[in-house]
Amino acid sequence: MADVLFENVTKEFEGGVVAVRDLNLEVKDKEFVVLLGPSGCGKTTTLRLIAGLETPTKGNIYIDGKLVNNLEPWARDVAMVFQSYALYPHMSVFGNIAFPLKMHKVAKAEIKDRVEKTAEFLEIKELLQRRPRQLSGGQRQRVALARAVVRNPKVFLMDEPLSNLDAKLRVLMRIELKKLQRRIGVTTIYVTHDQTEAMTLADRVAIQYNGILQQYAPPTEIFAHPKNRFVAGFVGTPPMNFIEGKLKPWGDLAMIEAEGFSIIVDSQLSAQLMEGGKALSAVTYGIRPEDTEISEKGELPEWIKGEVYGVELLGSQNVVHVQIDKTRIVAIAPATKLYQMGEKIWVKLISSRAHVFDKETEKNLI
Amino acid sequence: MVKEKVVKNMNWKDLMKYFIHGLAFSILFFVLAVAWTFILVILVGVGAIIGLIIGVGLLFLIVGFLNSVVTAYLWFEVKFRLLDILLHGIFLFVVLFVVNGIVVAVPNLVFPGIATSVIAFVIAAFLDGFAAKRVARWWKAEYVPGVPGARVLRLERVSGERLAFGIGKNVLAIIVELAIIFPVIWIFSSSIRSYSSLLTTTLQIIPPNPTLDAYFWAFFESPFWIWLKNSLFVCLFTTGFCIAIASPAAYAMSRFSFLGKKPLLYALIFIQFVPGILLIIAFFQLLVWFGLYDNLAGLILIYTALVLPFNVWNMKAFLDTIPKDIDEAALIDGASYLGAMFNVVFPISAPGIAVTAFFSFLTGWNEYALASIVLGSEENYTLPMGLYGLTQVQYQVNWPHFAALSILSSIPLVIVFMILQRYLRAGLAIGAVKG
Repeated sequence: MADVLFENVTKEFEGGVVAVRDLNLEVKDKEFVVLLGPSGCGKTTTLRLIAGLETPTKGNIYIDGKLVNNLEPWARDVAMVFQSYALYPHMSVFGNIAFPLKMHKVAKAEIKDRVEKTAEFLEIKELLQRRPRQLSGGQRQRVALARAVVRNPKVFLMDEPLSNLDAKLRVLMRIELKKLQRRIGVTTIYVTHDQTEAMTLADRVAIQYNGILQQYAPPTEIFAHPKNRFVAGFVGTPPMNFIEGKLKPWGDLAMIEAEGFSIIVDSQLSAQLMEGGKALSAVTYGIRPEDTEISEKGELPEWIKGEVYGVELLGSQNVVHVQIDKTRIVAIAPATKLYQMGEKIWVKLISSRAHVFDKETEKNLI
Repeated sequence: MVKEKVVKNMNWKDLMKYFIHGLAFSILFFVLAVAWTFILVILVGVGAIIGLIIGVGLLFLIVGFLNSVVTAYLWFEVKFRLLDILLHGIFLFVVLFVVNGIVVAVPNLVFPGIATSVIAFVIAAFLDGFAAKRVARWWKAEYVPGVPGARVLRLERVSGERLAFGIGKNVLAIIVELAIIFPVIWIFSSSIRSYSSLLTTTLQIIPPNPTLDAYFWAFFESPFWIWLKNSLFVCLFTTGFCIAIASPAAYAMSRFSFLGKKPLLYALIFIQFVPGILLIIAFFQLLVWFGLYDNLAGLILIYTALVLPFNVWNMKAFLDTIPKDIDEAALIDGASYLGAMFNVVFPISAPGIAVTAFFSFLTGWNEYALASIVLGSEENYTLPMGLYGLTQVQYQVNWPHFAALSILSSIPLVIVFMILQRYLRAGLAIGAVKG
């Protein structure tokens, strides 16, 4: 059992910078959790708190049920893969991988055996006698992984290990990492700012912003049911469209009155929204580009009239930017349909997949 | 057949190249002949037969080397292993001896005079060029694509302007080098003089009756070995202490933050501004209190204190360039802070440690003022003190002895430098920018 638990953990640095604010997080044994967020959101600090490279200002951290607040990094039985790999330049690849075993006073013969097995597992056996400076980026990353794997630690920590690789290699390594983790079955905590990585790798994603945990759920739930506006806008490419407006009743249904146009919400959504008398409150209507439809013909109230502002031809699909009065919406159209700039066009927003956020609290009202 | 081939392929450009080849060779050889006599004198001092053999061998090597370089530049790639150069030189020497003998000497015997000499010289230049290229052809390197040509000399042809600039640069460099190395040459020349000849006023690099008496005296009769032992003792221990103290101190300065760190860093700089001389009285008093007067251990302590600020500062600057990621990786891998320091950071900081070592050793080795205060009895004298003592005699100072001892004193320093130089190049560049 190697689970990780954060209990009301706060980390404040000198100068008053609060990197992590009252974090409550639990990672189950063998789970692959990704800490996702923009730069400066506190995800790397969270990782370092688990590693022992930082100590929490407040709160408790437990690894495998044991309180580790004051436990030094070398006693914690965690392994970390750094963004820069941090390989030891004066040692061979063999020496690098063997180092943690040497530090734990493992017998020489066993070290040799384990290092070779791990190297073979990660397909770097022929590189064992080389120095790090003689290796390519992908090879170095494998060595860093081997160094972490060889110890059979309780927890794997990874700090953006793929960001130094080229795009193609990154995609390949993503899948390899996932398979590796499944095979070894170690609790893994992975930090990234790339939402694609998070969505493809994670069992659960913890999105952080300004040191505060925004949402902690499996990727599909984060995508389909974002808790607040930040999460909704962070995950998904192209990003979600946000339309500011006022929530008003419209007969049986609800309507969001934006600048210059109105969006009619379907009955199910209306019922949810009108509960508790939320009318006349300022809201933000969020709709993903893939949840829209475009057509040359359309009619109110379902369709909204707009003008094509710009088109991005991606080959597999077209991204159409539509100007509706003062608002601009991004929509996705099939590749076969070519729209011209300035062309008049009708947009339909599929309410069943829309999200409505309270403008002030930014929470999802659905 | 050969003549036809030569005449048919002749053009003005090639002709000029032959001329330049011969000319360049003659000039270079002339310059080197001068240096070679100098070398020969020393070698004869070593032992007539051996010296002669080595001298002649060197002569052939020089000839072979020169022609390889000129040929590689003008015509084609040349095989460049040591044996190649030697054999090349021997052949060419014989050929040139014959050619020049016939072309230059004979006409001058028949028609002595400047005109004959000039004409003979010009013709000789051409013929030398022909002969040199012909001989070099036996050592032409066949270039096989794919096989690395490790022992082949290949020189790129450069345009006239770049060539002139290149030559000018090198000539200037040689002049500067000569100026720098001249004092050493002069001291060496002093050391091989006989005692009386030092009183002559002529400037001769090679004295009239060169002798190695001064060196024999230095080795067998002077207290050189005692002084050397003392200097080595002091310097090696100073170096050891400095490395042992400065490295962990610099590690702490670089990696940790603690109360008083900034003031301490500033203090390290400002302390270095104080000249050592001003501290003599304070040091003296301290040594007397601890009973370390006239004790080499006292000197070690003082030297260590003297160089420690610079060493800590330099090491810290160097360690700052090593990313902290590596420390953290080591910590997570199971090393304590000490373990991270010894197993990971220090092995990487070899250049920084080399600079520390060299600077400590150098300071201790050359230092006179503090040593003269600390040390009293003669058996504790270090080399600088011993050397100075030689000049403090009531009779005429025996300069050859002094010069010989100076040269011998500098040899260990050169050895230390040669051992460390690989690391020093990297270390000084980084440290110098910060400090």
